[in-house]
Amino acid sequence: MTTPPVLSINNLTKYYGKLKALDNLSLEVFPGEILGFLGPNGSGKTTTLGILLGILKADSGTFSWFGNPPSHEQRKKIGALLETPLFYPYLSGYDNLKIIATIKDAPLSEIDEVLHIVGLEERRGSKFKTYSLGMKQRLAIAAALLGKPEVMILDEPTNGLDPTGIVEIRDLIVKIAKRGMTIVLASHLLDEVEKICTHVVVLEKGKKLHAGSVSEVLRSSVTIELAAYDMEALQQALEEEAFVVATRPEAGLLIVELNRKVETSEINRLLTNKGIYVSHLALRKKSLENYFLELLTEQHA
Amino acid sequence: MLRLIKIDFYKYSKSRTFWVLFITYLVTMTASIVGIEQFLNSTMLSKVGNDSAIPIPKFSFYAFPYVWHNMAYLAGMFKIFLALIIVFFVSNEFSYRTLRQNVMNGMSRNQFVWSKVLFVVLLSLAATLILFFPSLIMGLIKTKELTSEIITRKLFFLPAYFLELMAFGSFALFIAFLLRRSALAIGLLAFYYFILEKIIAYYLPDNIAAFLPVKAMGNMIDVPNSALMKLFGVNFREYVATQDILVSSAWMIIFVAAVFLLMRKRDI
Repeated sequence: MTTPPVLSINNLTKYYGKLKALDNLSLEVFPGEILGFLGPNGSGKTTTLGILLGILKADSGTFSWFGNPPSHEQRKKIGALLETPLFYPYLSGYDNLKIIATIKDAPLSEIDEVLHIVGLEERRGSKFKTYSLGMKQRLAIAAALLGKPEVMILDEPTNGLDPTGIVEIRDLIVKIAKRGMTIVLASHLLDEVEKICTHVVVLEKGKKLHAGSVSEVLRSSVTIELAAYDMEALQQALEEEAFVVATRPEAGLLIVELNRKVETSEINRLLTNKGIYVSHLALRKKSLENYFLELLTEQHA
Repeated sequence: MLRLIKIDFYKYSKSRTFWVLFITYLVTMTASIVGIEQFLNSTMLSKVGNDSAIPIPKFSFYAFPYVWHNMAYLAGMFKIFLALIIVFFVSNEFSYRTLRQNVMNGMSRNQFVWSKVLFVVLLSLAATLILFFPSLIMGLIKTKELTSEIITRKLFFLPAYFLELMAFGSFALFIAFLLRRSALAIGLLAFYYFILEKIIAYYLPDNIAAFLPVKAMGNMIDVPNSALMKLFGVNFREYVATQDILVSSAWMIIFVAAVFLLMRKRDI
């Protein structure tokens, strides 16, 4: 890419006492990317984001936003939501946003705009402590949107929400993403990341395991599922083919992993030539979840 | 700077707790200033008795220029209340984790500390005005011969009181930033103020104990001389000693600097 990165991280390391929470993390995020930040709990996602937002201090390493060393002025242009919504419980949603708009040097007229985007305009005058968890989270997103940020950092935005709340927040993120904003989204809900993100970074124990685009990850191998009257013959026939990596039966189906993309019609023709007629043949899309689990098991193997 | 005041104004102006505490202070202070003479005359002097052999001269707490000294000393006894307001609201920024929210939204850590220093300044200023007006009014009512000279002669007790509050407020600020939890911070502040420093002072020679923070701040405005005390030959300072001003100012600067230092490296 020729455009300069929005964010670049160089060898960031952070200790909590003796525990190494981040281990030489380096990473770049380019404009328009929606980066999924993946990893099990305690892998260093929130630590990284906390450092990027000036809340935690790294022990070594540097990072830069928009090509410049970090400063509080830049943070005004970053919309951030960290773990749990943090507001003054005795103030209304509107009054809480008034404080944030003043900090960000954003006009107060933006408050109603962002409350509208997250659908909280009717409850703008209610005290924060009377909000449901979903509303609190929406207010946090509204706060992040103040000041027309160029980048959004969202840390587990659907944490603790019920299924309806999760869908609401996810739709909201998609809506925001469509405005062409660069987004860093930390989550352990993988299908969420898969649905929204263009790129992923996988962390484990503070180390970067993998970074790349989502489509790349999902394209790296192809899986198909088949069924036929004689399952054994089917399996045998397929294992003879060079493009087949592995086969395994699963719930009445045969799951076949291929090392390259082969058209299903091609497979069908091959099998027909061998006298096997399939009753079921479908391309199985590899999910990020499978990929993620594979990656972590490889690591532990 | 105006922006920082505005941010804190938005934080506190709609807090019911803040107004309850502030108005409680306002009412208590005003009532104390208005009622102290009556209270002392009825409790303390009645013990000596009106038919005592020694003739006790009638005097007023409120006569200019002594009213400034008397009332500043009285108000100084209530400063712990203001310190608790500071500790409470500053440590709440940690427990609500709104400090995090403020910083990640674009406040620098130093700006956050400055906003709290300004909070201490404004609260001290308000408390000084709460001392000024009732004292002025009582003085005007109770002084027989009014001249502008006599009204302003001992007015320097007001800036001394302001400095006392600023220094003590900085101490409260430091404890709040250090401990970050309101119950803990309030506990430590009260423990130090009422007990710990007194114990330390007990084991130190007087001239060294005078450098302890609470002691130095309290020394700035000495016990006013009443006619009764004069009778017994006790004589307290009727001026503000330069040493106490310097020591208190030094503590104020140390505490504020310590807060900036605490915030520089720490995770928040």
